[in-house]
Amino acid sequence: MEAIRQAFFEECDELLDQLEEGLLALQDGAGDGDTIGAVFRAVHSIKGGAGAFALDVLTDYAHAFENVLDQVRSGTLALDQDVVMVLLRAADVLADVARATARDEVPDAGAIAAAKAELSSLDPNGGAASAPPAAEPVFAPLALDGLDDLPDLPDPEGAPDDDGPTPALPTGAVRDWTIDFEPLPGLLTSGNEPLYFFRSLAVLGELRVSCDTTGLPGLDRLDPSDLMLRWRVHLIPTAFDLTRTEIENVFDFAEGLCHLKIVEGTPARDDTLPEPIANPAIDPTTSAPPPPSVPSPDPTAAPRPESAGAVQLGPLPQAAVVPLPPAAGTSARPVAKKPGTGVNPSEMRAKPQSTSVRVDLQRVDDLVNLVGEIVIAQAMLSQIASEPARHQELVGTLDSLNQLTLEVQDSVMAIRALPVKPLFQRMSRIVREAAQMTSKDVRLTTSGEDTQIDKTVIELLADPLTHMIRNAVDHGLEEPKTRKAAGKAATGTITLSAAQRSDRVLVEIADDGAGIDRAKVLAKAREKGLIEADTNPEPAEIDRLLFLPGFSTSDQVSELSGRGVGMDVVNRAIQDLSGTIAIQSDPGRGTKLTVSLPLTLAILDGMIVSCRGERYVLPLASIVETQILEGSKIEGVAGGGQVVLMQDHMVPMFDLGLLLGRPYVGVVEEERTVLLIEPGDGAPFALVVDGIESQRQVVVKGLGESVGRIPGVSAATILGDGQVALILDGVGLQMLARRSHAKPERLAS
Amino acid sequence: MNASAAAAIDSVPAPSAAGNADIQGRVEYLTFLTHGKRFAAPITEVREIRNWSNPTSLPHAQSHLLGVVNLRGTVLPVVDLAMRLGMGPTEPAPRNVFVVVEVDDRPVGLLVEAVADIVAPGPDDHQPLPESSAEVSDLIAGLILADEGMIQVLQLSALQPTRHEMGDAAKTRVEEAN
Repeated sequence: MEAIRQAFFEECDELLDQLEEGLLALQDGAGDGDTIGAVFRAVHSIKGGAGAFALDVLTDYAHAFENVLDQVRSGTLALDQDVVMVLLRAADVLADVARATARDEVPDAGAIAAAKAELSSLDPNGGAASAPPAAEPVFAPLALDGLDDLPDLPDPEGAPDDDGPTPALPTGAVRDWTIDFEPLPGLLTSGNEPLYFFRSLAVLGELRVSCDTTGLPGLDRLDPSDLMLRWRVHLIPTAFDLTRTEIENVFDFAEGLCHLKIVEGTPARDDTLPEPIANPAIDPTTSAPPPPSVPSPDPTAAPRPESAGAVQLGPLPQAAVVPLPPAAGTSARPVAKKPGTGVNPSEMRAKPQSTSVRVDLQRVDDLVNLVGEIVIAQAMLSQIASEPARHQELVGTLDSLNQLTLEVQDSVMAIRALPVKPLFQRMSRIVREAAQMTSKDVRLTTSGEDTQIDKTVIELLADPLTHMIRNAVDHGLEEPKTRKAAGKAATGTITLSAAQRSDRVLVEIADDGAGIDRAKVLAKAREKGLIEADTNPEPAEIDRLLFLPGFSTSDQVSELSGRGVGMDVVNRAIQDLSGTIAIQSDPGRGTKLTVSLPLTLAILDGMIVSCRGERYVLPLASIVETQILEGSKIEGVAGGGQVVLMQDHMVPMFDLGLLLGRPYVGVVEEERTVLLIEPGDGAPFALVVDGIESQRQVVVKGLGESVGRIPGVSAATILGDGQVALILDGVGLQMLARRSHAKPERLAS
Repeated sequence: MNASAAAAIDSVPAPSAAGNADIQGRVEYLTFLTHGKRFAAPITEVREIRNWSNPTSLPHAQSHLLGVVNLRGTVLPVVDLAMRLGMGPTEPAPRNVFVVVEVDDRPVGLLVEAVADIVAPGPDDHQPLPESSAEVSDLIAGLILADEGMIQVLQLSALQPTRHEMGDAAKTRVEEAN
């Protein structure tokens, strides 16, 4: 049971993600009817699952949420930005409630009440009931003039309460059934869930379910444990010989907990419909369900069973129709069958979706190859082990087996790379909350969500990112008034983007706020004694002061971010990930934080070059071209630099060995191997190496803290012969070149 | 190793790697030779001893940082202990090994001339380091008096090539290159 419950919460998380994703799409105006449907179904499925586990608080809240979404879906409630915001906040609360429930904690009742109040404020009907779905227009007009007095009417004609076949139906034809199901108080608390009855019924045939919500009290008087809905189910059985007992068996567990009335035949008023649903003449094996536009039987149009007297029908009963196709695999006539009004059977059945990881096929192939090699190595070991004289070989083979095992480990680790999308999605919530707390209008735009980072890095990035986003909203963006006065849009924009730059992932958090108030920062830093009073740092240096421990410029410590630990903690967290953080601020235009993270566990396509007896790996992505150049093609420019013409441009040329502090040994060859490097965001340059060895994928190994950051080197790898090779980084080499003003290599005289 | 850490190690039963009944309750040290002098590291800090393999040199690194080697798939920085202690480079010899020590969860290999043996000095055999103006003394945690003479116990945490040093080294090197 616990395992199933666990599975439910896992599914719940996915549904919550889908919900937020859908709502965000709607916010961006990218959503359509399908998106709304998906959003609705997500909440609906959560509610259904929660009900099954008797998680009352969750069920209750999801229900209130679902009601509003239903109205959005039906078009009763127009979907403008304000509504989407309310829905997003409601989704946040739903996530909180679900997660608290998963941890067996008591959800925050205050937050739930507030969210419910906000939801019901959207509801044109005051949250009392679902509105008539506009998508089924035929349905409403059919409704129920003068039905106020009908509840106590006797059974409809043509639906005799016996087991005998209806005379009008030819033998062998499928006979329809009409099932009136009215739960009594206590059905839910006894562990029953109406949804499961419908699922069981769906196994028997195609369902047309209409729900009578008139019994629902206002939201304020709603008791979630008391089911006030009534359903009429029109069942078109798959098997023509379906008996009443089989239908009754479905409700076995609810005996005494509901009023059940099962009558053979279509609902009473079918004969008044333009196109009866179950035309007896239709061959059951080919008859398709009528298209959605065909009116469905109206539950409330038919008189209620005797028991209905207990519930007074209102003057305008409301209902919703959800056709349920029979469950796949059990259907005797599935061929011509199409699902009903866009409700997908699998979605209705709320089958848990399997979590999956997208893996580059190449990585899988690598793994398969490695496993193959391991099998061979193992076979060799067994062979050698049986011959005592070959001890030396044994050791060697063991070593290669070790190596292979490690490679497999690395390959498996590489599979752990995940897109940053879920992380970014979580940030949209942070922005919403921060915006609400600071009463600012903030829009979050994201890009590069498909960029992949190791799962662990993603997890550890969440906290610092949250800090930075909150800071951007709280300190970066101005009040709407100030913004308007400055000629900006009242709504501030925070841009969150991710991109891979050769062997690093850059995550940028930019706001279009006022930028860093450097005078204030400087004054604060002096006041706190963080810098000497008489120093006059450069603007960039002032910006870096924000990362000093204990620095906070906010005059008042705000609830949101101003605890004076923010950026310091962020900086350390990023450093712990072997990352760096850069800050760039433009007064009046905004601030941009750039977090550069290493792909510690990634595999890199690299070119192995040799230089002064060492081998280095250059990321293939940064190499534009390789050439063998005559020394005469290299031009010296005044001031001591060297340039070379590559791809129609004169580019500066540097010698790799000199950049890395390894001077020439012996005579310089007349012909030089030159690579045209285009680093991530720098200008292209030519790099002279001694030779190119090969091109292959390498497993990126972090150099570790012991070695620290080496200019021009991003990581290391282990080559096939077990030797370590350094992975060079184009941007770093360029910086190295600039910093050293690397002497032009002197041509051999 | 500082005093408190040494005390902490004192309280745990020493491993019986030396197979000596005498050593119960005492800290064992691995001793090794560098430039003919004897040095020691607490055996609990020693992860393994590796044969010499040619290190991949790191650009702009300090001269004692020989580079990195492959330690079963991880990249291990290796330091020439003699260079680090200001005694000039270790002479290549067949018995040269890397003593892999782990400090603050960061492994580092120390190139030594040869491994000597394992000692378990009694409480009386420990001597504090005499006051000295030499910078190198930061690298020595204390002295052990043994039959063969003095053994210097390394302050392993000070041997870590740190980020800071690296940056400085790189800068110096680049400036030198100009």
